[in-house]
Amino acid sequence: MKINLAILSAALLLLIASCSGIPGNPEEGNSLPVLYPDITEVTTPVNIAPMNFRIEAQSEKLVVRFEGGSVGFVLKGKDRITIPSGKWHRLLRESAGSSVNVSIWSKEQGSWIKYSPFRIYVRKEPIDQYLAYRRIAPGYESWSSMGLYQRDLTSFRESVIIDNRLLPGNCMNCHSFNRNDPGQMLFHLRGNIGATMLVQGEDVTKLNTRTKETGLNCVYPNWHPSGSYIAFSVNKIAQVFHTVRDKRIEVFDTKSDLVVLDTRNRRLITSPLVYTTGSYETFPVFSADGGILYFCSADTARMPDEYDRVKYSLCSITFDAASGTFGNRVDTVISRTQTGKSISFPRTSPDGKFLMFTLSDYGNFSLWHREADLWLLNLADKSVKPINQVNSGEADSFHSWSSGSRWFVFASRRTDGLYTRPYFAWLDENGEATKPFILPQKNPDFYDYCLNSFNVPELVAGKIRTDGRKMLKTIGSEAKSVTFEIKE
Amino acid sequence: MPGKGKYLTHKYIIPVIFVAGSFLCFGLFLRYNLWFREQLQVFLLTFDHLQGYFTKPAFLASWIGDFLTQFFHPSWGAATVISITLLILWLLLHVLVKKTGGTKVPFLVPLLPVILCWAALTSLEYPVSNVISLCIAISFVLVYVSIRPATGRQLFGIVSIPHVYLTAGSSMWIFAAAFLIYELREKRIKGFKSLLLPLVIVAIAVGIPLILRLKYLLTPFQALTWLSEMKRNPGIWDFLPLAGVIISASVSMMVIWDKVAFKSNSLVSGFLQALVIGAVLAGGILKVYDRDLEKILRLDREAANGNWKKVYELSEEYELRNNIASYFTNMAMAKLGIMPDSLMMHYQPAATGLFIPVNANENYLTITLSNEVYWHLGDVNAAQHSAYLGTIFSPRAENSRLMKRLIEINIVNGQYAVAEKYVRILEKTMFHGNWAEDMRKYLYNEEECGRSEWIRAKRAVIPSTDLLKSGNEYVKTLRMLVQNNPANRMALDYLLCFHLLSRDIPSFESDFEKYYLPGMDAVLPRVYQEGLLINIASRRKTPADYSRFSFSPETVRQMAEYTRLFEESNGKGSVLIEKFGKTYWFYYHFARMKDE
Repeated sequence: MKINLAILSAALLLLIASCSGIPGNPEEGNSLPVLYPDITEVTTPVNIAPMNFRIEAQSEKLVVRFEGGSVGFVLKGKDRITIPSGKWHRLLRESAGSSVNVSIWSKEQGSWIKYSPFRIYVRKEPIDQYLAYRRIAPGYESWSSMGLYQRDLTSFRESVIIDNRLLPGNCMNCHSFNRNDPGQMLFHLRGNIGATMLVQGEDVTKLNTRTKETGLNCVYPNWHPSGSYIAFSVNKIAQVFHTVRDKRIEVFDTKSDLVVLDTRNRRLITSPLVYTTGSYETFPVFSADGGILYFCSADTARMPDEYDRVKYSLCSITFDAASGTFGNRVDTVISRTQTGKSISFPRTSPDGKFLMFTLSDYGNFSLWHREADLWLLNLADKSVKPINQVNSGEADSFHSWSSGSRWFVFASRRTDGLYTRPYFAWLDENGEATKPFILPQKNPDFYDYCLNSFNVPELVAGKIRTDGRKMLKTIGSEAKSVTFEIKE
Repeated sequence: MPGKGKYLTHKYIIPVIFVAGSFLCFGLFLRYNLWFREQLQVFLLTFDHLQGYFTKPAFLASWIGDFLTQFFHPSWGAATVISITLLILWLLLHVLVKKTGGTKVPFLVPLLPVILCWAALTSLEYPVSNVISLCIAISFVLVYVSIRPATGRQLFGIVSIPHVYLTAGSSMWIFAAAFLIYELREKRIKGFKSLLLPLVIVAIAVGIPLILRLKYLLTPFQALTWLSEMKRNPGIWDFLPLAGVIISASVSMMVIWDKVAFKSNSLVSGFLQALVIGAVLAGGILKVYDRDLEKILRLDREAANGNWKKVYELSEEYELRNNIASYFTNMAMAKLGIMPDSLMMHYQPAATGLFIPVNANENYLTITLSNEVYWHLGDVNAAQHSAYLGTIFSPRAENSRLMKRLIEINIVNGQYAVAEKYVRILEKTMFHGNWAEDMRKYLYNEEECGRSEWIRAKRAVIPSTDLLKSGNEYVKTLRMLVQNNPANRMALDYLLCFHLLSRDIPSFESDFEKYYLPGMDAVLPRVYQEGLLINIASRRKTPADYSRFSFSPETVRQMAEYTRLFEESNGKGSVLIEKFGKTYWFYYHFARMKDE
């Protein structure tokens, strides 16, 4: 009777397996499948879009089983899997705080192989729903068509914020948000219309940030949490080309200083401590409470001859938002003598615990530095470490925090060394990160054929609802000028 | 049925002759132009690629047009595609005219827009998708006029305007005009409605592009006049075929041909109409067709195949006074090792015949070709820079020729992941797939790369010491190439000739003394002799200073004579041109630089 029961159970299992389409008696593979995008053992937020993928093998048929919580389903394809959105989101919700088990069977050269199963870890904490970025052909000094776009991270919907095809001959850059708020945004226009567009709720203002005193436009921005101030660097930026095989472009400053824009009365304020002739100051960023302004600083050099000797330290100065004044001394937080390298793109986490930055051999435009990696400064104990879990052999540079401080996005060129792609990773309270994953796309081949880079990825808590016609009308209007004041 | 016979003669035989003529015209006289046009796109038969067309009006016309443009790659493919497309356009117009104007409409009426298309297509920047968009719009009109119940027809008309705009762009104006005129002709509209419908038609035709322009990311003018991504600022010839179709449709609808005392089928009228067609065609082609461009593109084709001897022979035959022609002539001379001997035998527009710039204001020819000289000189990174900019400024920011060059560059540079990306894209194309597959063998395979002669040759001249430079620092580039590899003779000749063509004798002399070694040539090349002799003639140097080099006695004698004649005639070029027009001395004295 026992034997009969065993046979019956086996037959039943076989029947279930055949009904669900799972191949019987496959060859057991001992390795993880090679997938693109790589989703094996990654950690995802509960609200991310379906992670469609293809298998990098000569697959004739593909069967994939997803299981998490009480949800499980099997999907089939030839060499790729498109996951229905509804099923995927239900699976993530059920697996939040736990993981999704993924098993893959692939028919290769006539026989079925079962790869080692893997997990997708699902965090309960959602990531900010939108990602804003600039889509542009990579590198070099000119542009043809480019624009600022936003992508709903819970789906595959992408929409335009502004595109230069509406403004022929112009380029836009440095889009920035106040603590991930879609209602407080700015970006610069460069070209025939040189201006900074400031969006505060329903109000759109066109600013001319070039003053008689600075002689330059404001460039790299960062918002004060109050929304009343925006710190900028004013940079004179140059771009040159390498002639050797393994390098392409060098971007550097020949002049740079810091200013803070008082948005209420359109006034640039600065301090002699951050507006100097003997050093380059750039990439300002406020602390989470707005009381400290961090920035990168390096000694000036003879450019471009000494381009690879310019190394930036991370410095700070206090800032009093009530009076709009700076402190009376600059502190070096991480010195270039300590790292032997150069710091760029410092960004403080919204909870005030960490400051993430990019470390490269020299200079500040780390996007073109293959050795550029992400590092983390613990603001409580001042410890510094590389985020090894997310770094790669190619440039890992610009990054942005999600408003919950646990997720971050960063721009990486790991796919091919040239095109910048947004990757996401989780960072726990101790500063430990997880294996990153690329922005999911409906078609797994998307990045193979996409000839645009996704530059300056910024996480945004909601949809940016700019009124296109109003924006264009403001762009066409006269820019409002700003005043300049050095506060001793 | 004698009348029927004449009818057939006029209505069918002439168009058939017309199509055969267009086949021969495009196959024989625009072969290189159309071959080049195909290289300005990367067409993939994938769903994602198709989706890319929805970002602009005229998605269907553009997609079909680009699909057909692929067939410009094989010999006679372009002539076949264009002839068939023109034939389809004529057939559609013929049916429309017959349906709306009857059989008495002169055959000139449907043929005239096709002639205008023919002429427009001889331009490098008039894509076949523009003809397809006309065909789509006429097809909509045909369906519209076929609907008998007036209300149904009018409803179809109103609904169709946005659809024609989406599928065929500004050819929507054809449909809107036909809709308006047809309804007026039918006189079915009475009272208030007689005003309302025309107003609705105009409002929709103007309103739809303006409403959709933010979605399509277009300026109001672009939205109302959108033809294709090919041309940023379309000119009169881009719109003439469209205007021609509107006029033809209007004429066939508005004139009551049965009542016109015009014997369209008579021999005289047939002759007169053929005369008009011939005149319009000849006038159009004369206005639009660029014969020199075809010759330049032939030079390009031969250069792309590495037939430098042929490039030089053709340059001698064509004698073009054009900087891009000079660009190829100079490259051919350098490749054949005769540049400094033969430089002044050919038209030299100063340094613009050595390098051509690339930026958004240049045309598709220059942005595609500007990387060639860097590639051949060995400045692979500069070639890469130029190829990327060229790609960015290409229609839809894609260019198969430049993508091929980027594959070569990234293989030479060992940047295999980038090369692989482009290989993967080109493998999906119909006519570049085999080439891309062949390149795949070099990816991540140093052994295979080492076996390849062209990769070895390119890698041998890549600079080993780094230099930072901006995009147009030609002298810095050439000096760097010569310093890194003194055996790079092409770079040396380009450097010295650059100075000479810029009439910068001090720089020429300085770099000559630094980089040109005695014994490099048995006899000092002619243009170098002539350049150095200027120094002797002006007494800045003595013959003893150049005693290490072998001067031709004949050149020295000519210099003396040139100096004598120059002084005797008080520097009159007309006295010197016959005998010395092809010497560097004449160029030095009489060439006028752009900024002079």
